[in-house]
Formats: sequence, C-alpha cells, structure tokens
Amino acid sequence: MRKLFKHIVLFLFPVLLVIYCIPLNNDLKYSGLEQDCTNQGAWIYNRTQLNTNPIDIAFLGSSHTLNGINDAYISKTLNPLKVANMGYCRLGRNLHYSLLKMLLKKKKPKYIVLEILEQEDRYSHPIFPLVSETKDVLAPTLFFNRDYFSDVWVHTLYKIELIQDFFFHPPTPNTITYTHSFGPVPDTTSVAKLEEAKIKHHKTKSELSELEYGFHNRFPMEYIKQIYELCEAHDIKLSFLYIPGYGVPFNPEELNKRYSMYGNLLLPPQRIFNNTNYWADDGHLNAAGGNALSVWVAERLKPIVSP
Amino acid sequence: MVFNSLAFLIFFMLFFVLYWKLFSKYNIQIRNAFILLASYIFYGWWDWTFLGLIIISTLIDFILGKRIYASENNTHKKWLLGLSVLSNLGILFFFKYFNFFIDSLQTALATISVSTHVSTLDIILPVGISFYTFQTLSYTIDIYRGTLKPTKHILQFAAFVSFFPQLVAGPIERASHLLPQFTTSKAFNYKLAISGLRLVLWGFFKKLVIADNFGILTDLIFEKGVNASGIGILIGTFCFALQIYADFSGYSDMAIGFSRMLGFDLMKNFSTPYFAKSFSEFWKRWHISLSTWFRDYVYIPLGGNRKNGLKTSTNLLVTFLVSGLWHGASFTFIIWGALHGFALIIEKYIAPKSKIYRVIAMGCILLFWLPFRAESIEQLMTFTQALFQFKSYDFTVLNQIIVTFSESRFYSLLAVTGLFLLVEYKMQFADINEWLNKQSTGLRYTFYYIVILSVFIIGNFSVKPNFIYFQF
Repeated sequence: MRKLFKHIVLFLFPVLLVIYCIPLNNDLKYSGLEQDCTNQGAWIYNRTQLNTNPIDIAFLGSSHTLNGINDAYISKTLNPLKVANMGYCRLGRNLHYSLLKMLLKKKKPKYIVLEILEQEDRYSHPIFPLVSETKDVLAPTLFFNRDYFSDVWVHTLYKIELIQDFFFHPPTPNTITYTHSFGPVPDTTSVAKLEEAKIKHHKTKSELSELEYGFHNRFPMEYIKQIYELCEAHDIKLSFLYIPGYGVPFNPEELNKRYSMYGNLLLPPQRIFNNTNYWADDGHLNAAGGNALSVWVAERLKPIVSP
Repeated sequence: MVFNSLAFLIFFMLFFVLYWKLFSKYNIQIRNAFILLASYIFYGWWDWTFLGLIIISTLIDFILGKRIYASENNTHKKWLLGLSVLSNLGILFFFKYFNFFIDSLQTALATISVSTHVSTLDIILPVGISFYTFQTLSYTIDIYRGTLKPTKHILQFAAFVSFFPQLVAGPIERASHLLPQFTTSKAFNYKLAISGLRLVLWGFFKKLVIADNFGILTDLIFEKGVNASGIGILIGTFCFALQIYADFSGYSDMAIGFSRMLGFDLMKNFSTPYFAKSFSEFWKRWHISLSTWFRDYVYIPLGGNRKNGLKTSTNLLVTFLVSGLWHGASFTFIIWGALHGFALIIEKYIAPKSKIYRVIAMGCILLFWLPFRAESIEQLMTFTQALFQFKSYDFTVLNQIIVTFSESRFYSLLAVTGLFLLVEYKMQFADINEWLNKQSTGLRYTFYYIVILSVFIIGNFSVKPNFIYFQF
C-alpha cells in the first residue's frame, strides 16, 4: 500500500505544483468576492493595491469594524493622515493577517488598529483560503486549525477556478463599481430584542471552561502574535480596539491580560455600547453608534499618532 | 456525502488505510462490521434519519430470506415472498410515489367532475432508495426461486445492502454476485488498486468535464424554453444525452473503481451504449444492472418472449412502463419508458439490420431523452411542438448561448468531447484498463495527464456536487 501512496503522491505532485505555483492576477482573486460583504473585498483590494493614495492608519476587523468605524470622519479629524476601514464581514483572525500582508505590499501604514471582541473566534475566516497566499494556507505554522483541510481544499478549488477564469473569462477591469468601506447596516432592532441578546450573551460567556477557552484561543492568538511580529518588522504601532456586541459583559482585566503585551488597548466607554439608540442589531452599531465611536476613537488616536 | 467532495476524500482515505491495515487482517465479520459502520456514516452524512429505512429493509429481508429458505410449503413461501415484496415496495411507494399517486388520482377524478381534497404529504425522497430496495428484493426473490442460499450472518447481509460505493446510485448488485464477496478474506493488491484508481479518474473526468459542462449548456438552452427554437431544443436534447450518460456512467465508474480498490468486484453498468446498433442493443449496454433486473424480475416472470407476439409485446411495454416509473414519479418518465417500449416492439417485428436503421435508432434514442429532461407534460408538449417547426429554426440563439457559456470554453469542451468519444469508441473492444494496459508507459501517462489537465482546466467545480441519478 505504501507503494500505491508513493505513486499517487509522485503522480499528483507536478499537477499540484502547477496549480499552487502558477502566478495569477490578484484582480481575478478579488473579483470572485464581488457578491460577498457588500463588495468590501473588491474595495479593500482597490484601495490597497490600485489606489495610489497612502494609508496611514488601517482598521482591521469584522463587520463590527465595518459598521463602527467611519474612516472618512477619522481621516478628516486626523488630517493629513489617511485612514482606511478594512473591516470584513464575519470572524476569523487569519484573514486579518492576510489582509495586513496585502496592505504592506503597496502601503506603508504607521498604525494598525485591530478589532477585538469579548472572546476570540476559533475558526478560520471563510474567505481566508480565497484571498491568502498558498504558503499561508498550506503551511500556516499553527498548532491547531480545525479548518485546515477545508481551507486547503477550498484554496485548491479556487485556484483551479482562477486558472479556468484566466483562460475562459479574463477579467475586465474598471467594470466593478466599488462601494465605500464604512456603511452601517439598516436598523432592524428594538430595545426588547437587545435585552434578549444581552441575556443570550451572558449565557454564552459562561458555557466555555477555562481549559476549553485556552485551547480554542490557541489558533487566533497565534495569528495575533504573527500580526504583532509583522507590525514590529515594519515599524508599525499596533493597537486593539474593543467593539463588542450589545450587552456583552465587559471585562477589561481579561482583555488587558490577553492583548496588552502586543499593543495598547482602546477600550471605548461603555456609554456608547450601552446606548440602545446606537445599535442596528445586537451585533452591529448603526450610523449614530458608528459615528459616536469614531469620534471617540479619533480623539484617542490624536495624541498617539501626532508626530 | 458525494464522491466529488472533500468530506468523501477524507472519509475514503481514512477508510482505505484502516480497512487494509487493520480490519482486513483479522476476522471477516469484524471487517464486515467496519464496512457497515462506514456505509452508515456515508449515508447518514446526508440525512441520518433515513438510516432507519435501510435498517428496516435489511432486517425484513434478512429474516424473510431465512424463512423462505427454511419453509417447505410452497404457499407459505409465496406468502413470505409477498410480504418481502410488499414491505419493500410499500416503503418505496410511500416515499417516492405517494404524492404522485394522490395528484394523479385527483386529476383523473376531476376530469369526470369528481372533486376530492386529499392532501399530499411533505415527503423527502431518501437518496438511493430505489437502488437498495431493488437490491434487497432480488435477494429474497432469488432465495424463493432456489437460486440462492440465504446468508447466516446479519453483518454480512447488512454490509451487502449498504455497501457505500454503490449504495446511492448502483450498480444494483445481485446477491449471488456481491454477497459471497463479503465471506472471503482479502489481501491488498496493487494492480487491482491501480485499475480501480484509473476507473475513478475516468469517472471524475466524465462527471466534472463532460457531464457538468454539458449540464450547463443544457440548462442554458432549456431555460430559454421555446425561445431556444427547434434547433436549440434539438441540440439541448443531445447535450442532455451526453450529460446524463457521462454523469451516471461516471458515477458507476467511480463506484466500481472505489470498490475495486477495496477488493470488491461490481458488475459493469454501462458498455458504450451510444455505439449501439439498435434499441435492443442499447438496452443491453445502458444501465445494465437495472435493465437485467427488470428482465429477470419483471419481463421474464410476465412470460418474456415465450408466448405469442402480442403477449411478448405487452410484456415488453409493461416492463418499460415500470422502468420509466422507477426513474421518477412523473408522467414524463412514463412516456420515456413507453417510447422505448414501443420502439422495441416495432424493432422486434421489422428486425432491421441496415446501417441507416442504426442511425435512425440512435437518433430516436437521443431524442427520447426529451421527455426525460422535461419538467412537466406541458413543457414536453411545448418543446415537442417547437422541435417540429423546422421553419422557425434560429441559430442566433445558439450563438448567444455559446457566448454566455464562453466561446473558448465551448471549443475546448468540443475538443475534449472528441477525446472522450474516441476513448468510448475504443472501449467497445476493451475496457479502459485493458486498453491502457496495452499502451506504452509514455502514452499511458500522457493520457492520465491530459485527463487531469482537462479536469482542472475545464472541469466544473462551481456547480453543487450532485449526480442526476441520486434523485431516482
């Protein structure tokens, strides 16, 4: 049987080598994300790779960031610094690492603000295998990634699709109308719904034991470490911005313990998060909430980023 | 879990290693238990609640098979067989035909102004139910006929019923062929594993390159409806003929290939049917496991061709109507079965041998896929009308479809289909393994890499991984 496996591997090796190593235009990669997250993938790609304007401060995170950070306002406040909201829907710390790597290819940011929640998400981001470099997918140098095989599979299939697109559907540039990053979702919530969510969030928190929590955190924390190392190598200041869902128990000690070794923490006042008028739903701030948070963030960043 | 999914890839690799490294070395019953467990996981992955049906079907036929064999009273034997047939077909009827029956009955009564209000049920059709039901039925029928001895081991029988490579879409195995293979010990055989892998590779090529691409073309054409014009529907039907053949025979190749890698031999299910010279030859080459099942358990018991011409014709027609119904609870499938039944009857009388007849027969076989593909009787009527309006044949629609599909992809597909048909032609004289064994190493590897490159370059990875015959 060993002979069989050896032959299969030897037989498939050149095929996989071609698939993984063939250089592909990134336009293709991001055009495949057109329908996802209000086209934010294409916007991020456009802003970081094609747009020649610099990016001095980049916000990385999930839809909490996307809905909560008004980058145009912060840019205006911190003028002449340019700010980009690179939040992308759904959780998964490995995507932030890949986006940061992409950002560093064309820009020289001075400051990275990474979103943090009450707890780290233990899964791989769904678009990580689509936008990341092959080596980051195949050899993530991590102790534990429960989505590893799925990531490799999706990455391989996506690369095959991209190769096919290269042959049969070459990209037609300038046909995508890019939406801007900060775009709060419409309000769909009520005080009653928010209170329900609050109770749910309290219950969720108590479900994981310390041991489980430590085990699940191994994966995202490894990426936090890698993001930190990348920032260090490029002389970038790293900060963590706490943007929880509504009614999530606030535990600054825990957050300090987890992140302060990598950068300073931005912990917005609870009055923003406790205001029921500031929420579009139980996970996302609305326009008013986003603006209130952005005012606070801009004020906090002023002394830090000023020369 | 379908063959072209990550879940199956991991599942099969784990199973394969454990099967050969651990379970095949010891007791056969332990090995069978392992196969059974894996088969239930495979099936349960889709919907574990329907596992109960397979287990019920297995238990009923295991017990009844023993009783039929032990009984010395013919009437008693008949009753027991009747019970087996009734319970198996009862389950099949409920899940597959109940709503169709109620709808048809209500429509029929409405035509004579009788209004009824029987509600249909919200029933999900369990994947593979038609396949494993027929497989277990053949077991009790063969015991009743005295051509098979029942097995004493429930694990062996359950593994035979639910053997995962062929559980959801066949080939529908006979107990006399597959069951004994669960009683013999097996040793890993490199050559056998390689020949299985070749079949799997060829199956993937058929599925991902030919079936899924022609599937997109077929959908594009049929979505346009009558706007596709007669020529569109004609070409759409031919595309569907290629799609369904490549889809189903691709699945069968994979099933046979995976089984062979485990040391099991499954029956051949397709033998280059589109190179047949007549309808009767087509049915000796298409879905062989099902057509021989109908021959042995429906056509021959009805009298076969032993009686006069009229009786033989009736038997043929009944068999093909049932075969049509087996494919799906819809009148379109019944029409498809009826067309083939009538064609076989006509062929029986005129017994043609000319080359022109060969072309006509194949043309009809290809056209007969139209009712199979149509979603309703109304759609079938509309398409058939459009098909015969030769004056309205409009090629510009086809050009639009090719542009939507991508011109370069379309021409690549044509080129690869040429390769596919060439191999199919060669396979009339030898199966793919025999053919490949005759080639030089260089040519063999060139063939492998062309197949793999075709899969990667024009294989369709974006469609939902599914097979047409799963719905039957």
